[in-house]
Amino acid sequence: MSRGLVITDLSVRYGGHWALQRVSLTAAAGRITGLIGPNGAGKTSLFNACSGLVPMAGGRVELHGHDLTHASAVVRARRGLGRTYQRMELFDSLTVRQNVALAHEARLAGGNPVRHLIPRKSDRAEADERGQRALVRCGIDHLADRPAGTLSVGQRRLLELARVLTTDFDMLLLDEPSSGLDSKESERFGDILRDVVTERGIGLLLVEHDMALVMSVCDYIYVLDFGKLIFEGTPTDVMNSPAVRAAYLGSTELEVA
Amino acid sequence: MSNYLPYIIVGLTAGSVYGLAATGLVLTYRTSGIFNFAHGALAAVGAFAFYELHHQRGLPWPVALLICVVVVSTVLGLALERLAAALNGVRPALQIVATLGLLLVVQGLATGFYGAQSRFVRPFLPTRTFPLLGVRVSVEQVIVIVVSATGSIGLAVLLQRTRLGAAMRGVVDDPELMDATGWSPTGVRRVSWLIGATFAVVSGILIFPTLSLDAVLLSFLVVQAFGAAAIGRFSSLPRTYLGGLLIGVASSLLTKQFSTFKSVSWQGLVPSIPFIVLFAILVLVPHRLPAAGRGARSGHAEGRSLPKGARLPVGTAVVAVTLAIPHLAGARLPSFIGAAALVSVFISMVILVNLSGQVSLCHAAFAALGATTFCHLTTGAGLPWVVALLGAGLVAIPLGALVAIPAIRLSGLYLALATFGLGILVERMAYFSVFMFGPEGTRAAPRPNVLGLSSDTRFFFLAAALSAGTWAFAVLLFRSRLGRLLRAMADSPLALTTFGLSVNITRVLVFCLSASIAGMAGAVFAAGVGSANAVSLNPLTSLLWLAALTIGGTGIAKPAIIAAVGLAVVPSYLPGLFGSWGPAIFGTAALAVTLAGSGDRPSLATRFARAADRGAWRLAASPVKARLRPQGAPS
Repeated sequence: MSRGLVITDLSVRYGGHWALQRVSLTAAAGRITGLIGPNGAGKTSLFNACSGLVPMAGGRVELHGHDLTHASAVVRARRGLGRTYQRMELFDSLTVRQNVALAHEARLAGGNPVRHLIPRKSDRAEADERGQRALVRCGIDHLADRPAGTLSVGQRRLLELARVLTTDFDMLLLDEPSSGLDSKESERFGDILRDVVTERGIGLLLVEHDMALVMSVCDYIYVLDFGKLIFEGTPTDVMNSPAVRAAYLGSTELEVA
Repeated sequence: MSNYLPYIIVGLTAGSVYGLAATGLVLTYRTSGIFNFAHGALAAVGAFAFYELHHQRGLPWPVALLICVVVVSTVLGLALERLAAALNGVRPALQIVATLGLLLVVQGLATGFYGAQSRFVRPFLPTRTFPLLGVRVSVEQVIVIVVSATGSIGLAVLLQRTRLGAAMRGVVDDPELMDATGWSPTGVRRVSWLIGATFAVVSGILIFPTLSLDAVLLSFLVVQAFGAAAIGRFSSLPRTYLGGLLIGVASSLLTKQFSTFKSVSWQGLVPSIPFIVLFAILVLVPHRLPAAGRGARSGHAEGRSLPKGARLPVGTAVVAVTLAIPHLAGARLPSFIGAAALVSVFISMVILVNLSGQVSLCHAAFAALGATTFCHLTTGAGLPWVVALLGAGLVAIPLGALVAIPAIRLSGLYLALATFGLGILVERMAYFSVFMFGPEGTRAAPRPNVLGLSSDTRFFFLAAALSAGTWAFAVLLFRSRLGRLLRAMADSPLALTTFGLSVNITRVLVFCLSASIAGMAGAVFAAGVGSANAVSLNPLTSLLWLAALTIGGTGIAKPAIIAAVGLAVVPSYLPGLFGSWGPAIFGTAALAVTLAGSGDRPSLATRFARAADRGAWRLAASPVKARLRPQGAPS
């Protein structure tokens, strides 16, 4: 049984439009896997289908050998699949500290009405402690008492990462986590990602437009275009692939890297 | 077949009017984003104006009709366009309360001026009949069907074939873009409100001779319109019109079918049809509905508490006033008992509305179920008072879970509509059954007969203590894990789902808690009055409660106390004023609060500056258009 996320022949359809067609990829535990492609290539659709938010038109999704194809979004989360959102789904009216603590508490409450109302004695302390650790790890512990709605875009990105690190997810889907960060911030962001993977042995699947970040942190990269996988390989392979260059034609993102 | 034909004709006549009213409702909803709960109230205004001019003042009916259609509709349409513009950007719950407030105002004014009795009037259209397909059809029926069909089809043609129609369809999708093309979105919306108001007024005038002149009945014409609008999925006008016909015919045929039944419940089924349709469509095909409201977030959690320093003095003052009330109230103590019980009802609504950002328009049904169960358990089964009270809370839980089913799939407007529908369904089908109020609509509710608690003074303290307990529970709930989860859910249910929380369980739980508290509060209220009364807990009460709660503002105890005192105590001091004008006063207050409130709305000055900006931009961009429209049409 291999650890990690295995996607086989995944298809997603919106009405008559195929957002994804028979896409297969593997994001192994202990590694950072990149997923790149031009806008509209189907990257976010792939995340949504993996996390159970949009129905799959075909294919299989497995996590650590468990078939999650027919599981609901909640079950997939409980199996250890976490994610962040391109548009950031923070709890804006709550403080930073409450944001991270609630992520853990949401998992603890799960589907149990009793646990919604009456937490176990140790829960609160545990959630606070995990949250604090994640905030420190992401370098935003000094913002703990600020309402999330008042943070800058870069701080919000870090908070979303901290929130997803508070829980014990072992496979994370990160949807453009560094957009809105400046180059120095995103460099530090890359360091955080690498450290987390090394320490916890979790797997990351990263959708990202910042090519410098992708090339520096990813062990393996998949390239999507028009809902189809057009290339896969190591960062060096991707850099040298004419197919990838063609897909990105007109944008200078690759040259920058 | 020929047995059914007369019923089909009657159904088509009524259905045409429903269809006409519903197309107007959908048109205004789609162009302005504001769902007008007072749409039926506009029909009532039209009917009353016509009654005044024709039946009272003796004007010939064509003249009266013309005045109503031209003058009354125009005034109503323009006023509603302003109201809708002011409500733009206000959170959905407040938008709902605003038009509900308008509904209450109209009903209150009609009752104030014309009394609560319905009046039967002679029909003004010719009623002579002629044979058609073996049944007798009246000229009146033909006119009603033709007028309604002409209006609805004419509107459909206008929308599909003309540039104005294209603009009206465009304003739904992107008002900003519309603005840039030179059509003023405000102008387009004004036209659609004028058409909507005219349709409402005409449908009111067409239907009141058969329905009777009754503000409540006419305002609830909107109910049939809801069902028809749901069949049209709140977007298609032709389908909405057909939906109206369908509901008319179905109701008429079922009336024939059930006229032989003795059971009250089955007879209650007929007037519930629009709501069964509405409920079924909302719950079964929610993904086919247009997005409700234009604000992205449906929820809005609130739980502001007093600053620390103020808590002790304010708390002491509340306790002191409560202790003093029996000495000061004199003969009005019973209304204070009612208020003390109502505080719990309102706290149960605070939990649902303010904490979890959901809406319920059926809380009176929870209270009614609790109250009647309490009566059964005490006078019927002879159980101890406290046990019966807990039983009342338990019985309301399944009903809360039932109401939570739409809450799982709907939010904002559609949730409000579904709960409103469910509340009316429960009233029509269950209130007068032996399980609830019984055929007489009332049941005796005893006070506890220990410790002298049956005296007014002691029972007042008991009710106040129970409400204080409810308040303490609500405060704990706000701080509990559930409270935090609910606040997070108001921001992003999606994130909570992908963290492994079953948000549906959270939603069901909060509905069950709220229903249970409302059920117990209903029981205490009934015990205070001495009986549980079906009339005092009708579906309109739910609307009045939500309006009163909104007037109370944010927080837990403050809105509950303000609403309870406003509804139960103030009228007892001003019986003359509130006896006939009560709903109108609460409606006006609710409207005022919704218009004044909502901190996220730009201030008047900002809006004025923006409008001036836009005007300046137009002047600069297009000299021709600037000459045509010098004020720059601030929207």
